[in-house]
Amino acid sequence: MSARFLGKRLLQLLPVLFAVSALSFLLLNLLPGDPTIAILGPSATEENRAVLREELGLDDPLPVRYVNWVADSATGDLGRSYVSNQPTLEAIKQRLPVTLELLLLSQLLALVIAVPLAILAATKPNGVLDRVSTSTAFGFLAIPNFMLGVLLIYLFAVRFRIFPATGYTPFSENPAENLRSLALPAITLGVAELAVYLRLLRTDLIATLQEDYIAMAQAKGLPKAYILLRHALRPSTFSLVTVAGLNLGRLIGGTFVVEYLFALPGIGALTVESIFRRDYIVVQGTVLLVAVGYVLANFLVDLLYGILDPRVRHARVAA
Amino acid sequence: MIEHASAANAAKQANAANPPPSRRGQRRRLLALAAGLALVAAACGGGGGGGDKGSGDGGATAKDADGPPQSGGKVIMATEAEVDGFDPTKNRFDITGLTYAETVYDPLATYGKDRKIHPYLAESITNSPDYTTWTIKVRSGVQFHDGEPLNADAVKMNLDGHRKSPLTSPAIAAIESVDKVDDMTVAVKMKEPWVAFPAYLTGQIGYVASPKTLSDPNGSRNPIGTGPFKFKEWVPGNHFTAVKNPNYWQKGLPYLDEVEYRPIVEVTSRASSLSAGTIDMMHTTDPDTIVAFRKDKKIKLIDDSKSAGEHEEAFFMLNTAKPPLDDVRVRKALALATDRQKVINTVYAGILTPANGPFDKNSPYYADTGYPEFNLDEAKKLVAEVEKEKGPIAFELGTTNSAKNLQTTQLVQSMWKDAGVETTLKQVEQSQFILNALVGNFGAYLWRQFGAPDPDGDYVWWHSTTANPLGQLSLNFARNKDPEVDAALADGRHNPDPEARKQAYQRVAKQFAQDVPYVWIGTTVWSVSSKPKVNGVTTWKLPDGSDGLDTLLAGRFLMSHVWVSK
Repeated sequence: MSARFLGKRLLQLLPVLFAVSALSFLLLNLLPGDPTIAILGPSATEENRAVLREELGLDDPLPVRYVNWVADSATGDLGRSYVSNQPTLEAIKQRLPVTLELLLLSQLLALVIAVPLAILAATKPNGVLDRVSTSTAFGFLAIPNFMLGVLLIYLFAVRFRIFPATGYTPFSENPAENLRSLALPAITLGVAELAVYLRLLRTDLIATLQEDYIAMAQAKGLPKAYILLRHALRPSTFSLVTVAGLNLGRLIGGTFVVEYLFALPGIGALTVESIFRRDYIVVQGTVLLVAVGYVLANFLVDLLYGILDPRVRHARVAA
Repeated sequence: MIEHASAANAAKQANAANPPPSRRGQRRRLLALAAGLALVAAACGGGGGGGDKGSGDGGATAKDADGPPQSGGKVIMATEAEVDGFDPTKNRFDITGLTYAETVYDPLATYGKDRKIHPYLAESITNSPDYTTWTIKVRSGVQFHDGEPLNADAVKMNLDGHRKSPLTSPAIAAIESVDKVDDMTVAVKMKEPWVAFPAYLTGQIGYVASPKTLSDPNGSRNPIGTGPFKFKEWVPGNHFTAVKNPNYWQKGLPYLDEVEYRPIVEVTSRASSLSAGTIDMMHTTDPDTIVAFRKDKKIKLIDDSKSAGEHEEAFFMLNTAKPPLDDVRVRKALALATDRQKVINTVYAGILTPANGPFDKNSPYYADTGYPEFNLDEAKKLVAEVEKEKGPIAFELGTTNSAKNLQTTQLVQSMWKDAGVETTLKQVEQSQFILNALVGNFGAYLWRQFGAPDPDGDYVWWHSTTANPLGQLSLNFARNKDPEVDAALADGRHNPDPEARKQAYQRVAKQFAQDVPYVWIGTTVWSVSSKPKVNGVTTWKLPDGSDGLDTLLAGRFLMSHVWVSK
């Protein structure tokens, strides 16, 4: 992968980031409502509110506020929460590990189950395993995650008491408890992904297995498992990787619901709380973070293509 | 009983009460779903166990374990929201804020079983004969958690902080000055006789934070008080932990070694967490949860539905300054057309008591107010009469973006339509909703308020001096101006005779029934539920040895007296 290619891709990120930050800033600031009322309550006088507006810089014109915010953000200063006076960056640092771990666990869970199942299903298309796994997956895909979350809490926390219903234990405090506290949220988030991955990989694998070079490998008498893992799997993961990257957006959206439901102190819950309190500064910070994360993840997916398929790499070099 | 001792709190409650219902609506659907799944599980042979809900509706008895309180242990309590900080003069204390605050601070006064106000952190609270000066003497030998002594300077700094606070000052605008008398005593001088002032000392205005906390810009995230527990850690959105204060001024207290609070905003998750044993205690006003826990023998539930004192009311606030609601006949017609019991049964699981005024049946200020009972025919007649004179009646009916509130509003909208009143329903974002109420840009708004522990706390919302014309900020949102109400409010504020005060506020309620600035629905029920091993929520002693309040103060209780049986 050439440095030029990397640089070019990174440059392309800039307009995306600009658009995302401007849009999120505009959206939040054009909403009706007044943060000073959210902060001071109805009994505050107009003078008090004017003082606060001044303090928060809410009197400045929108473009000025945007430029100030971007300039500060670029230096890592995302401002302080209107409500709790906590620096937004500090709040994000506190909560980011929770969300990252949740995302990672749910993706891992989905992939660890989906990949072997897809391989097995693809070896015998329309076999019993294939039918059962794809239809089950379809069922899971159809359940909204908030509903699944409630069901899982009811079954595994209230009824069988295997996992805690809510809450989060940091990994550094107790690794086993940490995994227990994230188990239900990760399953809730991961199940829908699992279904998508399973169906995608299965279809692609079946297609790949029809290719001539596979027939060639079979003719050479290579073991079936070897052919599947060494020859068929890698070329079949293109869609999977693409979707896994794109899905990150959906997953992050899912964390808003799942963190709220399971009372996890992550970025999603922070954003939801801050929206309820009209804590613009924090919402802008988290939205920016999510946008950057999403764009970067898809940038990584682009890079992965090159690793998965030499043709892409060569085409890029040629270009 | 209701908790907020400041107008700011009342205000906070007025709007804070709005968000949770959205989750309630969701909860009902989700509960049905969970129940459905339980059936599936049972059908699959997974039944047995777990089906332990009693069938009676008598409710779980909230009886403490026998024997003396035991020391030690830890309690995890889930709250309905997260706070914005711990500084009484800067942060908005809703029920969660007050609960957190009482963990690290002590209020100067609190309520006893006799429903009277007793000094708590104060040794005495006395008034001049004309009630224009209140003298507060604090207990000697009490230390803040950092070892600094509690004294008059600290109390003065707190009260002065409130007088300057945009958040809490409107409630105590009647204070003229706070003066230090001696090392342990301050004199609070009033602009007018103020009989109910001590009631304000039972809540946000009565907590004494250390001067260090008040002067430190980060003090609101690092509270130092005299309270039963010392602040250990606060991770916003996750938990707030406090550990036993070994030098607490009440010997033998607190019983617990540690207490942890976790905000679990989603009420279904909160309730499931208690059922699953993930937490030990929780509070809620959600009627569906209260009904479910009343039947659950494994849960100890304390609710204040039958307890004396003030509860918040849910009601439709009418803009009496704006046509067509400036016509009392229209307002009366709306009251006549509203079937309160039906709303309560449909939306609030039937557990609220229908209200006929700002005081509920268990309050000493309750009276038969003569508020119009549901009578559709009468309503239709009044509507016809007005429409003949002025043409069709139509106005905007509003609520916040919450499913439960929407449900209530839609139901009432259809009731009013039956009487011939056309309304347009509008859902408004929370802070815009409050702003609209302040400037009078509304017709009828679904609202929840008026639960101050002493009705004088509602003075600022009811008096005509705070009712300004449309377009101007008006704390009297309904803009109801009634000299009778003013006179009664003044009487309640100035007259020390309890009987006279009772009559004064009964007069207020009766005038409201005549003026109909509010179409009442019902009273809010607060509950605290816990594992059976948790004791002492409503059985405790005051420092003077008399019994403490035997019910919740709008969901509030003192964690210092809570203990777990081993």
